[in-house]
Amino acid sequence: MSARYRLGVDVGGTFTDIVLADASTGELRTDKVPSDAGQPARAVIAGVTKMLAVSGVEPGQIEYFSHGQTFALNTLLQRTGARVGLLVTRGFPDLLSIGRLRLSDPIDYFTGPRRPLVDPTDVREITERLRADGSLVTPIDPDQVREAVAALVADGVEAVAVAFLHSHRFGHHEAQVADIIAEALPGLPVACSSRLWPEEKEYERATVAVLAAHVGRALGDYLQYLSSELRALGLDCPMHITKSNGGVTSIDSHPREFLRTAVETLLSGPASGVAGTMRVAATAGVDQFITMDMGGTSVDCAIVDGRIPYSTESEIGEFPLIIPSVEVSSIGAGGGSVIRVDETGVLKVGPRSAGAHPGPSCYGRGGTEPTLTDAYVVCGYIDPADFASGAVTIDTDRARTALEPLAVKLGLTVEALAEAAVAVATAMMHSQLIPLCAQHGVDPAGMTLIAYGGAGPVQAALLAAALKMPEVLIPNSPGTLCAYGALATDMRVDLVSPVGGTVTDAELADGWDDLQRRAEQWYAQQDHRLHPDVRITRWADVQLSGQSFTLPITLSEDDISVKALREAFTGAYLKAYAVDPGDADLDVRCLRLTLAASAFLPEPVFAGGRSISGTPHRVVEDGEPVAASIYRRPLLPIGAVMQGPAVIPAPDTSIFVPSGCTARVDQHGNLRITVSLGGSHA
Amino acid sequence: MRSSPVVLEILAHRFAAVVEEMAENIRRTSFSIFVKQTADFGTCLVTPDGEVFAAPRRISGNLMIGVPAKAVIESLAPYAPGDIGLSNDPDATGGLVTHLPDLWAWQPLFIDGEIIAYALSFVHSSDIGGSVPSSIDWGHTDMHQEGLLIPPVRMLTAGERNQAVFDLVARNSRVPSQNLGDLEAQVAGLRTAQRRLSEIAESYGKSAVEDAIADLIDTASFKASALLDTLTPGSYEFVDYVEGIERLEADGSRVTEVPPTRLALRLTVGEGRAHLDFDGTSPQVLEAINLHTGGEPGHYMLAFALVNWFYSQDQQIPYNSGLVRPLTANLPAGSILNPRPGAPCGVRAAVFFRIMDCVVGCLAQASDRAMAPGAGLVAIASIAHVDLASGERKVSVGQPLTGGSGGRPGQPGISGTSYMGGWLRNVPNEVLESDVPVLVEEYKYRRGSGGSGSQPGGDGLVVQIRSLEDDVTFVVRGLERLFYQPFGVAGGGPGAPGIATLNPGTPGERNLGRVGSITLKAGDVLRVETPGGGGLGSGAGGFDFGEARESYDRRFPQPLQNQLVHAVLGQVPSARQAAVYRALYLRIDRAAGDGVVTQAVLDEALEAAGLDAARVSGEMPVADPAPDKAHPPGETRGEAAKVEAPGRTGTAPSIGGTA
Repeated sequence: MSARYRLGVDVGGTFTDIVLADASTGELRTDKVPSDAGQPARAVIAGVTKMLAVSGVEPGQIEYFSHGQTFALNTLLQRTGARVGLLVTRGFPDLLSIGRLRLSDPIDYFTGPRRPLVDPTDVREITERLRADGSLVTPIDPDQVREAVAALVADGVEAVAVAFLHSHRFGHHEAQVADIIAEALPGLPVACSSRLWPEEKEYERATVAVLAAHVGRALGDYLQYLSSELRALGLDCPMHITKSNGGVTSIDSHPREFLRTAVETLLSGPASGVAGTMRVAATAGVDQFITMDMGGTSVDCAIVDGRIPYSTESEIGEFPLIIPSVEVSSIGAGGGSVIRVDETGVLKVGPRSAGAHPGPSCYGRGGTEPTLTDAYVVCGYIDPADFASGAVTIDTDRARTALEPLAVKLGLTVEALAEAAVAVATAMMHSQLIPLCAQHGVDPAGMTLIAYGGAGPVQAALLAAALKMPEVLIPNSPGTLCAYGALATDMRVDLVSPVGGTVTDAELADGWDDLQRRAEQWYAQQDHRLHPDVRITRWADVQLSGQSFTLPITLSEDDISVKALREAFTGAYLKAYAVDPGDADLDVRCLRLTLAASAFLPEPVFAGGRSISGTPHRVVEDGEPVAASIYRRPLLPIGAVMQGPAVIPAPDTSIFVPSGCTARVDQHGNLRITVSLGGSHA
Repeated sequence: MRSSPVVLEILAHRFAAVVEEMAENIRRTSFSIFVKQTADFGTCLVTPDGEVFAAPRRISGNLMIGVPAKAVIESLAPYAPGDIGLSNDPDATGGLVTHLPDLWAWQPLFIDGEIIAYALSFVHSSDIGGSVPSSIDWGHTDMHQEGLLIPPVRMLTAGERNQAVFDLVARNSRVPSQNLGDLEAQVAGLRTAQRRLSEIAESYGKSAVEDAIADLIDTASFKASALLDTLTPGSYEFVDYVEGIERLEADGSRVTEVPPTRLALRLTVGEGRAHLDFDGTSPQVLEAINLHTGGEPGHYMLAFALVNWFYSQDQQIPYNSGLVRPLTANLPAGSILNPRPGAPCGVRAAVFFRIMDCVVGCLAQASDRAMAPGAGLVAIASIAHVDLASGERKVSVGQPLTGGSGGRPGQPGISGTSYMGGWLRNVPNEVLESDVPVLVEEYKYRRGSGGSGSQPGGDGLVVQIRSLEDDVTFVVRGLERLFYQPFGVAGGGPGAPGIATLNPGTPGERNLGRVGSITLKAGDVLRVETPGGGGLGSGAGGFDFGEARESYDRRFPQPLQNQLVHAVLGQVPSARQAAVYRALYLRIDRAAGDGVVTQAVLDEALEAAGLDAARVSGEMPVADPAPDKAHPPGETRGEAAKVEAPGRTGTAPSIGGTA
């Protein structure tokens, strides 16, 4: 039998990344092709076709395909999905615009209002009402529902979301409405909040339904097009899509499931980057780290304290997302952030970004404003002769020209100005990461910084030094980590079931058993041939009776009891508040269950190169050009050690090793930089 | 500028990181529901002179700019490294503390054996003792009813805990473990500040840190002055009220029980400065709404509206007390804004909110980019019932009742919330209904309640709740603007006033006024409609105050109100001012009957009280309002209110825009 391969693909804004893994050896091949904003699937097909041709792999040898996309997210951010009508309980027509009341910036007199995805005129109050205990106050009037939906559709609504009070526990009114609509208008997508995510909090749950209704059909059409094209190419293997929880789900499921898939994949891009990092870190023996994915406009960070951080309070643009998602925060500046001198003569970086178009001046794509990337180039932290495998040509003169006026204004050399701008950017990232760490109760000193994305490895060692982080790790293929994450990560589903109040041992056991049945049912429907190893995690949102803030509590399988729950809660409570909750009543708001099935994939074998000879180079440090070396990453052997200052260009990024730092190639091909923590910036 | 333009920007970010890390540590580890739900806590770094040089922008309730720290710094001097002070005493802290539940803590930050800054933090604790749970009640008449008073004490001495202080605080609270948790959270936060500032000084050097601190404050001050210079120079007057209480008689007549509390502001701008003259503002009152400012001209609760105005126009402006350096103020001693020691103060927010509106009213006259005021209230409803199964009393988490914001240049007001309570989150109705036996029948915008205009005010909220059991008690605190509507600006119309109704649309329908506390039977319905924001017109026309306020101004002309205030503050012994003012007001109100208050009515009342009516006009001691004569900052900050300038004969304040 011929060798088997797996494919991971990640569609980004600029490039579509392809990773091909040999299933038996773990050996990786990576490639990038330009993305296609009009039809992202075309770039995927082109990239896969090219990869197969270059590698000499037959489509039939592909046993697994996994795909990360930003199609759903972009559809949402640009609001180009379906026009959604919303059905709500009578008395709550402004559910979406009231939200949770809080203003995005309460001290800005010019803060804009919330802009719901559903136009106020597309909201219909439905005469129906259940109490919190499920008892009936007002039954549904089917005629009113039919009239309301008919009027919405006649007016141009393309999908309907339904969100009634207490449907997370008592979903029958929503189900009844869905049936009425299905009968009257078959084919109209209907997203019920209780089916998609039955968690209490009417605004957030309604938002899940609205997002699904807005994006569902567009994503479904895209995935159907993609999978049929891949089949036409000859791929005959399980096909998967990455989710916001860092796992994957099968593509070939029922069209109705596209509504669910849509909301579950919105934040999948950064999530699969973190998933890929987790795998890299595990093989490198690192388990306390901060990820740093630096792009054109910002740095995406995740704080990993032993395990992937999940948030049930994510935000997508203006919308809350309560479905568990890998917690990634955007901070600081990006490579495209514009450098300026403000009216009081102070050097500033951002907040504006030149973005990908026109981009930094040094790209020569029409940008003339000085950006952080231009500063890197002038400082010599990027090798202009060897950048992004030649996909972008770096023009150092343009970078200098752009920075020159600022240097004149501040009476500095262009080099000193460029280095100062980098220092300001470092301070901005530092000042946002420190509170983020405090939020998580971790201290960055002692953690590793894992950098990827185009600009991350340029900036990483400087940031690590400011944060007193002793080590930076640059993965072997930092530019295709998301695509690698897509093909290497778990199959994963998160489920929630509302509770509300005190519970008995039997209620706990029954509740989790029910969730487990549903999770296993989901798993059975997946194409899980290559994800055989199933793990179940049982957790719950618990608070003290009468309080309004819950803690996530995880229980082990062998002791599902109120007693165990209380013990775990007491521990978590002490950790969070340094106060013993005593024997106050516990209030369990919901039970959660996660099923994760890991894929077996051998660790990639890193062969390494044979040369550690450096070529002379100059970088700017302390305002002056100093002698440095350039080492070509693809040539470096395992165990190679390089002293800073050094610049290490790679096909997908450029790495800067400052003075006092030492870089070493580990056995997996990761570059490990030991950061010098002494020294003054004065 | 002392600093390099590069190091200054770097250190600005580093200082921000320190205060935000402190705040995140407190938010994560504090117990108080006020921290978790309403973000009622804060952190800042101040200079040895007590000026704030760094404060978080987005994390907490953001009331840190203009915090007067000098008094507490001096209270425990000299300091050793590791000392941490604690106080909740408004009188002993010079206006730092404005009500007792706010537990303030501070720590000197040493570099090379010398104090170069102090870190401060506060947490609104859930209960600090006193006559009612949560320690806050409008009806308190004496600060000692409001809970334990902690004069400045060391809770840590050179890093060692003074356990007795912790024990004392805990023993005097209904929720001792929560208070201890809040104190521990603050201790942890303050220690972080010392560690981080040491790291910064290690990297950049002590003198660079000191230079950056000075430069950041100077820059904020410079930029604030430049923004003030965008206003048309001159003096602008505005009067507004915290509403009083009227009793409705059987014959339909209304009898005043508690007078409205008059807040009068004359804002003078020019030459990069602003002077806030509160001459004519009510004497301190018997209710717990007095605002202890310590006479600080840039006090955070006076400056908030201006600070936000600066920030709104320039979000890059350094966020520190340099913003209040261009401010001077006249805060008449004995007035509600500079009350005597011991004045009850739990609900001082009512006055704070109305001062914001006074500033907005003055800015509307001074700026060509006028803005209308918001609904002007932050009310909180909580619901208590006795759980029939367990026999225990259960209280729901408070539901914020906020109204619309005002129309803004180029934008209509936001509905449902405004900048006064913009950081509040609501409680999901599903959670509310599962906690307490009620049915929320409506929770929506109050359509049409925003003031009209080219940029209309935002709508208020309608919250209608039916009780499902007997003996369900609603406690609603902070309802305001039930009579006097959020005013319209530049030809815009006023927002609708708020109203709370019992059993609307039934024979038993009843207007509940401010509500306070009401116990419902099964089936009873409480409907609260919050005010809309004021509308912003297209420029033609002045303020539109709505009928209630305009008829009040006709009934009791502003010059006569001013005379009454001056007579009491000028002639009555300070300990008796609140009671005499109340009695005089009620006497005058009764004497006017269905008619209006005239000079004769006023004079007669003053004479009967043994006051000299003739001495009143123009004899009120005030500070000199002319900005060019204001003392430079640093020399007399904190004393402006005490400066008694020679008598000024001027026109009595009138209501701006209608004058």
